[in-house]
Amino acid sequence: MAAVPQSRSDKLLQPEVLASLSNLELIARAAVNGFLVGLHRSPFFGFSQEFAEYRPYTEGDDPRFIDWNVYSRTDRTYIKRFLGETNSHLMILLDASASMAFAGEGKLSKFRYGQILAASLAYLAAHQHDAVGTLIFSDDVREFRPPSSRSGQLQAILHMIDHATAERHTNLSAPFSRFRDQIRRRGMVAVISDFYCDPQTMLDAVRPLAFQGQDVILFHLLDPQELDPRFSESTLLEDMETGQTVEVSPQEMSEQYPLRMQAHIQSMREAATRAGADYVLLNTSESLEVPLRNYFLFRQKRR
Amino acid sequence: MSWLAPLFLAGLSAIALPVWLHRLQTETPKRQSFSSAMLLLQAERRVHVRKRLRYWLLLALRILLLGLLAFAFAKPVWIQPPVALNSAKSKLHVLLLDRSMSMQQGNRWQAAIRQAEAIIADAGPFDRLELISAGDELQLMAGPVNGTSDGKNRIRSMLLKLQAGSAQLQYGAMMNGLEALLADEKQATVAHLISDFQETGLPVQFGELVPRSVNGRVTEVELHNVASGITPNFAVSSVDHTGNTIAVTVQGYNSEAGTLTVQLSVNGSPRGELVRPVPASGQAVFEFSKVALNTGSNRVEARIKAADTLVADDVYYTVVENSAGQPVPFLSMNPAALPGKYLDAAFTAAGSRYELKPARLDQFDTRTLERYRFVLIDDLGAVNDKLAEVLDEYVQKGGAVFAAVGERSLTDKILPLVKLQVGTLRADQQGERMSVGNVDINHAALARAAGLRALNVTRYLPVTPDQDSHILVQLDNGSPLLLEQRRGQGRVLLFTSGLDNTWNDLPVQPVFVSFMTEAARYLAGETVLKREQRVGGTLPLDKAAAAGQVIDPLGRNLLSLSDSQRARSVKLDSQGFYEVVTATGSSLVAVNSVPDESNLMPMSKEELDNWQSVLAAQRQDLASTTASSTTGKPSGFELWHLLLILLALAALAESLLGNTYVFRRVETPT
Repeated sequence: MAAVPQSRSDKLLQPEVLASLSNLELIARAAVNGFLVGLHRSPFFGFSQEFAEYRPYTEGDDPRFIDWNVYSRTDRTYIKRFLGETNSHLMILLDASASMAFAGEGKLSKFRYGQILAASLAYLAAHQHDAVGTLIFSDDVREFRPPSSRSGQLQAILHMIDHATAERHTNLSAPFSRFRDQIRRRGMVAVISDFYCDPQTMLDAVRPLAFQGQDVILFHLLDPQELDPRFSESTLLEDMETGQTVEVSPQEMSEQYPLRMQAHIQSMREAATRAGADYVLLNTSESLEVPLRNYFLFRQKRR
Repeated sequence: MSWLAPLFLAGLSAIALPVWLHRLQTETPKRQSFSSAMLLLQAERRVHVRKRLRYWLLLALRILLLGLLAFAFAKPVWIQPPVALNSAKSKLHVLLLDRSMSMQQGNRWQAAIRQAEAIIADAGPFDRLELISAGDELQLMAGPVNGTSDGKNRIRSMLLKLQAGSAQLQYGAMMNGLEALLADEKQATVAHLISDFQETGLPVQFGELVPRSVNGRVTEVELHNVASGITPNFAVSSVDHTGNTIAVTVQGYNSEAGTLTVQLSVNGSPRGELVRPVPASGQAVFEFSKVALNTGSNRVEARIKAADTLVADDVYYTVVENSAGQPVPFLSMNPAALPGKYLDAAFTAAGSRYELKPARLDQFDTRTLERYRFVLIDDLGAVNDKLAEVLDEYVQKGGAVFAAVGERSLTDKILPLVKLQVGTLRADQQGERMSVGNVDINHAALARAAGLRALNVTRYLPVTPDQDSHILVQLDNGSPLLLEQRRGQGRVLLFTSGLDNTWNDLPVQPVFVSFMTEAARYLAGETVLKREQRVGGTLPLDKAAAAGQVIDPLGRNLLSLSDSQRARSVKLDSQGFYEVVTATGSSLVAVNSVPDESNLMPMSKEELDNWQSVLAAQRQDLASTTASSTTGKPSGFELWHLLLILLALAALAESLLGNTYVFRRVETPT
């Protein structure tokens, strides 16, 4: 069977293609545009400037959105609101622990994939006029930028994401605790991590966010080598966070480790459900369409 | 341990192989970064520890396997050093305490106790102690115990309970007994002989004094003398009586001439004192005449007044019988005939307590039969049916009959009383006399009748014995000459010839007196007892006659109820009178000290020095042998069989472990 040629938008969403671009903003724009182009032929009704309602203009509203036609007919100023325009907050939490630097076949690390995803989400949110902020964490909060829809916010976020490095070990408790203290307003929270932690720990960190009124989506990034490791010989695996080494046999890794990983994923999924969060498992070898689509659905569901 | 093929030990170098292989396997494999070992460690931590242990266990098993293989080929032999060469510092100290009568003299016993306590005190905590009493036999009194304070106290406690006895100690016999007693002992043993070393205790052969090797082990002997100098002593050596005259003999040992007083008492009542001079180291006889004796057995006690330093032998016990003769009916159609005369003469000559009471068979008052222990009949054929019936009843109830045959028996087909078939008279052919073929001298009635073999028989009646009959004396042709028939509780001795000297020459043979005496005692149910014995002797208990009680000089009953049925003899270990009580009466046995113990002459200095020097040389030999470990006869056994079993087990374990081994390792960064 002949291979189905990929469309231009599909190619744009391939991680390898995106990773070849040097500028993160460019990467994000390419990813989102590619996603939005693909969206027109998708079965979903799509994301567009469809009219939703009118509401009276109040002080502080952007005068650009005053419907002058209504004003001319009624001498009253109304703001025209569209679908998808809910003035939401999106907070992107990116895990920058050392384990995120793992790149199975040496192509694209989980962290780079996470950076692209975070940038794309930020770009998409900004495109929807959502206030967007970012928190980069490992064992503690390393970078934080509160959500804002002001101009220049996106560039600042992209710069922060671009200059982050994967180091230190993972600890969800401290960063999430600090994050809760900083964010009072309800919004969306996208957590991008490989979640090498106890599911209960994750549950304990995320559940308070849900109680706070945040809508949480967890992007669980895993490399194909983590999901289905392939070793041709006994290998001494060195934990990238702790430095601990474990000597493993190929048979062990091909037969037993995937089972344990699937059990871990299932546990994380169940924990996310209990915490009231959406859970998206991402294979870093796959297209960014999956996370973006999930985010889109997540946002739609919230609205 | 030694090796029969030590060159194979070079095979141990093969142990380097598994060590090298394991080192290869432990080399670090390809290292690769991995996002997290969390999922690896969670499930595998325990396994890793186990695998790690298995890994070292596997190496150890492989080394063991090769080591055992090399050892097995080298054929190890376990050499057990001769026990005599036991170089262990701890020893078994045997306190061999002389408890013979001579130890009662002066302060010898106290000195012996002090000496024993000194030895006990010197024993180390790792030594062991054992207390053995040495008399006419060796007796383990306490131990072996450890040389701790508790152990020592146990030995001391038993030591203080002991007293010098009355028996005799023979050093040669003692050494033999010691060897047997310590035959199973594995530890180096030192026997401390604490004694007065009497010369009379020396064996005939000096070599008997030196312990021999038993199971490759020799007991070291140390001598501890508690006597000093020559001690004079007097002892009553014997008491004899004739009628009512009692002669007491006193013996002086290493004594000077002097005058002694001897007291005589009968049944606890004094019968007088006599003073006589006694020559230096000589004898003197003290003769007491007209001594009043009670009827029956008299307990006669002769004692030296003004006792010397050894009191035990200053007294002598004896039993004097003073009883009127017991009547024994002699039933005959002619009591005045020769048989009666022969029997009466025999009893009189033997000094027997039995007195013949002749009676005519047809005039005998059978009502008096119960008074007599046994009855003599010279011709059983003369007994009529009525008398036979009465006699049968008498015998059934426990009475006894000695019967011969005579002219009146010739017509009988069945002999009265015994109801045995009888044949026609057998007489010698052409002057040839029949002689006795077999005499059962083990029978109590024939204990002193071996002389019956010299008997000449010219006529006898062939009697066919029944199942209750036992032939005691047999003629050459197999016909019974004397048989015993048990009837109920009694017995009948049937002599199948006559009691005059016409059918045989028994009445004129010397054996007639002893034969009739013993037969009479047997039929009367008397136990054969030696009335005078020495300390250390035994009192034989006739199963039939003496199943009763034995009461020692202190009045204690020596036999329990079960013993009274089973015991065959009683050890006589005290001076004085033993009373044997049986169903038929009681008997007295006088027990006195052994005369040799009265002679307190110690071994000469040369003899003692010689003994000690031989023992010292033996000790020196032991020490040098132990040091060189070259002599002696070592015993050994090969160990390779055991090693092969271990080898098989190790191989099995290695295979199982090797198969289950999964290569896995965890390292924690420092």
